[in-house]
This record gives sequence, structure tokens and C-alpha cells, in this order.
Amino acid sequence: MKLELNKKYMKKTFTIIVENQPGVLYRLVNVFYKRKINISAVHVDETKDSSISKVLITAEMSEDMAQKIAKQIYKIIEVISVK
Amino acid sequence: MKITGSQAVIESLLKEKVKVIFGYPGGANMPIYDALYNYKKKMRHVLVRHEQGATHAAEGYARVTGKAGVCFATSGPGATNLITGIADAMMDSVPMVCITGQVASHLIGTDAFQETDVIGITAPITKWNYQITKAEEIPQVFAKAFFIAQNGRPGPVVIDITKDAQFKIFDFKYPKNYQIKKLMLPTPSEKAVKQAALMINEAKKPFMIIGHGALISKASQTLIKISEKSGVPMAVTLHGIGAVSSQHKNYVGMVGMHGHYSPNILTNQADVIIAVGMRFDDRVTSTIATYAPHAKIIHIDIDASEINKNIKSYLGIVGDANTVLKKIFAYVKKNNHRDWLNEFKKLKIHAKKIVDKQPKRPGITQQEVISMISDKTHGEAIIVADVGQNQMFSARFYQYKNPNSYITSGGLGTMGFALPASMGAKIAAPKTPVIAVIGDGGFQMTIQELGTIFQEKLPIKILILNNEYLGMVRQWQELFFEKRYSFTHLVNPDFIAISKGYGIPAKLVTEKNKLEKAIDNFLNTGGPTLLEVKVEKENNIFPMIPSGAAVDEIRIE
Repeated sequence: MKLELNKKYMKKTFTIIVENQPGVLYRLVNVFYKRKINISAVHVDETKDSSISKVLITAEMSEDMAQKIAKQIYKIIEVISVK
Repeated sequence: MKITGSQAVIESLLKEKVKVIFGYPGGANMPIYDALYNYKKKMRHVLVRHEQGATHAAEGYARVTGKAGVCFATSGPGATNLITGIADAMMDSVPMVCITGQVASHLIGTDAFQETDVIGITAPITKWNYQITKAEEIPQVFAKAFFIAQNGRPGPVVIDITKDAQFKIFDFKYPKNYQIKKLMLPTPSEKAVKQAALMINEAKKPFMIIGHGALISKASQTLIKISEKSGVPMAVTLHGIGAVSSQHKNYVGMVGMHGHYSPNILTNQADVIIAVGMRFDDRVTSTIATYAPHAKIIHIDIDASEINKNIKSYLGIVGDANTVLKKIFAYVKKNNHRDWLNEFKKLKIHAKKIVDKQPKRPGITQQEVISMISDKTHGEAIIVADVGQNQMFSARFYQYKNPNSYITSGGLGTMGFALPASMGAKIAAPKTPVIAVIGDGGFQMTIQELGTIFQEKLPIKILILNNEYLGMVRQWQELFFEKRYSFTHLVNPDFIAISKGYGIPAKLVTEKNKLEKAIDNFLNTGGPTLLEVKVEKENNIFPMIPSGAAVDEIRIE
């Protein structure tokens, strides 16, 4: 069965909840870099619980790619959730 | 108990039931090695000759036992020498825990002697990594590392420990039953399982492709039960070899670039493909646009990110292959697909006729050597293959009967893998014959491990298939680059003298009529032994799917 790529590119923002530790952001951006996707915005904040951070990453890609990226992000051990 | 960080490292390994470490000492892990000195009776340590050898040996050990292989290396060059093996383990889902020494924490970031950013370098090629700067972190981090390496889709983990943390005394307490919820196995939904069974039951031309995940989840018996009940033909990927016996009546061979003729051709006629623990690698699918155009794909994998990554599946089921298959089995109806299976047989006969017509070669061919070894070991040895033609010949012409008996570097394709990996395999399976099948090119990439084999007296059988070429690259140059053999010819040293220099008895065979006696001798010699076979220089491995072609455009010659 053919992989039907949705070729329409648009800005996607991933909301990622992570354990607040050094190196987690590095792993996150690697998921994008590995596929040569340019990140247009990154925002990191500690949450009320200082052991947890919220990361927002925005990049341009197809819906199909966004789904793949989300799954790859969730594989990172320190990632609690990704939307 | 009050102990040093270094002792805690060894105690943690003992808690994880580690039996062997492959490693190399240096400045930044000397305290750990000093601690290890007192554990000589409880823990085996194999001193490799290069850290890359440690990683492949750990992979060989892990591939046979299913447990994480363990490596030690020092900081800087020690750690960077691990990279190839870590990347290899990542690609092939091999559980591995590498423990690297690091400069003292106050020196980190100062470009200190033998300092490298190991965590930064290994992040893209590890499942997880962590730098320990305080001894108190050791028990928790080790428990976490082993859990991560061995659960879910297995993979490599790196723990970097600063030298000061290795010296510090603290109160050691190892966590019990450490778990990470996220990596616990998802339960497949009953609805998906029923749908999969229904698809199998209604299929006219169902086809099962079995990958490495089936071996990792020990699904062999369930696969056979499903196939025997439903009549579904079974094919394997390179890493799925051995999951089901090649002698089974429903076994149709290997798919992929150098796989068998019939399963590749008929992939494109199948109406339902059941993909078990495999990831539709480009060497399996060739051009995706022309892959399996008539098939609805049921994709079973433990890694959710593999579903729809390369090939869109009709039904994706995330879970442990054996668990999922057992559930599917309950709903599979008794059936046989005699006509469909016969199509595989007909194509197999067709391919054989063409091959048989080819003129006989005067010299020894790689396939003759592998076939002979297969017959004489009754398909029951562990074959550790390197990369290139030797790898494909040993995948195709050895008749594997047992799970985890074909070990090779599939994803990364690391030349030099086989010799060190065979050390780990032999330690893991001391009673099974372990044969390393290596070309003359790959042999010289990790040849120094002959020293380790000699020192450890590992009774490995080392088979060198010498064609004086980087055979696979030469084959491509012949077929696709107008025979322009650009830097693929090797002027080799005297391998027999080298082997003997390392204290390993060695024999050379160059003539066809002396091959059988040489192989008998090779297989019946105890202890480490090497056999160099001078094979046909320009022999190609066929069938072959040229890159860019469809799987059913596979060439027999």
C-alpha cells in the first residue's frame, strides 16, 4: 500500500511535557534535526512543579510528518506527554 | 552498606545479574577497575583490544541471551571508540549498557585531558543516557539503565561517571523491582486482535513476514502454530532468520534485496501481509511506491513509532509480538492455502533451473563453503556473519533451525562486527559451535580481537572467505558502475601467519577438492581455530533487487 504523503506544509506546534533535566531539550531538537526540519520557535518553562517543564516547539511540516515526529518525541524517556 | 562509587558500580551490575563485562581500562575509569579487582571470582571481565570490540562482543552476548551486554570504557577516546557499536545496537534493537569513565566533575567543560562530551555524542544513538556526578545517584541510575535497555524495544544505554563520583563513599541501597510505567507493555485491544484474525481468515493470499521482534519476544512457537492452523506462508527478514526453522513446510525464505526469489515476487501478489516485529526497512521494501500494491498490511510492533513510519498499514497493533500473536491465534480459523503455497514452490523451482544452467566455476564459491558447513553442522551452529557478500551468502545458504542462531549487523551494516560479536556469542553459548563468517575486508577492521580470543581461550571457529576484494562493493561496481573497480581490490597480508602469531591454529584451502577435508578439520578442532578459504574473486550474490526497482523485479542472474 502506498504511503500517501500529505504534502501540504504548515506550521505545527508541539506541546511537550518533560522531566526538568539537563539534556532533554537536546534530545528533543535532535528529533527535528535528524529529519532536517528547521525549528522556527522554541519556548521552555518550568511548571508549578519545578521537576516538570513545558516545551513548545514550532516547525513547518506536513500533517503526516507531524504525526511521525510526535511518536519519535514520545520515545524519549524523559517525555511525559506530547500534543 | 557504606562503599565507594566504584564498588557500587560492580555491586549494581551484580544486582542486575550481569555475568560478564567487556571492557578496556584507562585514566578515567581506573577506580572502577580497581574495585573490579576484588570481584574477580564473581564477575568475568574480558579485556578486548579496542573498545569497538567490547561493544560488538556485548551485542553478540545480548543477541544470544536476550540480556543486556555490558561494556566498560574510559573517557575521551575510550568512549568515542564505542560509538560504532552503540549505533549498531540502536539500529538492531540490542540491549546494551555502556559505562564510561569521565573526568572529575570540576573539570567538565574545561577541555580537560581525555574529556569528551559523551552524553552529547551518544544522545542520537542511544535509547537513554545519563551522566553521574554524585555517587548517590549510582543505584537508581543503574536500575533505570537496565530497565530501559531491556524493556519495550531493547536498545543501548550509556552511563557516564565522573572520576570523583567513583571515589566517593556513600550508603549503597539498590532499588527493588524498578519500573518505568511508560515502557510497560501495552495490552493489545481485543477489537484489533479480532480484526487481524478476521483479515487472516478472509485472505486469499496471506503472507507473514517475520522480523527481529519475533525473536526478541520469543514468538517462534506461536508463529508456527498460527501458520500451521491458517496455512499462511512464512518469510523472514535478515534479522528474523531462525525465528522459524528453514525446514518448516510453510517456510518460504527471506525477503529483501538479497533474499529469496519467490517471497520477493509474491510480496506484490499478497492480499494480506502480517508483519511481525519488523520495520519495513528500505532493504526489505525497495521502492515503497511499488511495494505490496494489493496487500492490506497488519503491522505488529512493540514500537508505536514504527507503525506507518515507512509503510502505511491497514491495521497497526502495538505490543509484544508473542502476546499479540497468541491472542490472534485464538480467533484464527483452520485453513490451508495449498495453491498459494504452491506458487512459492513453482517460483523456487523456476529460479533453481536458471541457477543450475549457469556454468560451474572452477574455484571455490562462498555458497559451496556455507552449504557444506550447514550440512555438516546440521543447521545447528550459531553463525556470526560480518557484512557484505559473506553476510548474504551465510544468510541464504545456511539452513538455520534455531532461534538466535544467525547474528549479524543488519541495520548499520558494520564491517568488522563478526569477530568481536562471536566472542560474546561464544561466552553466552559455550556448548554450541560458534562460527564467525568474515570476508578479508571486514576481518582487517577488528583483526586485533584475535588477541582477546587467544587470551580468553574462546573456542571460536573463524572462517575467512577471501576473494581479495571488498566483494559487495565490487559486485555493485560490476553491475552498476561498468566494472570500474575503484579501490575495492585488497592486497592482503598472510592471514595464516597472523593467526598463528596470535597463537590460533590456522589452515588455508585454495582448491575445491581439498575443501571438504579442510572443513571437517576446521569443525572438529577444539579451541579457537581459523580457516581461510580462497574463494572465486568475482562471484556475485544473487538473487538481487537492484536499488530503485520493485521487489518483484528481483534478478536471478
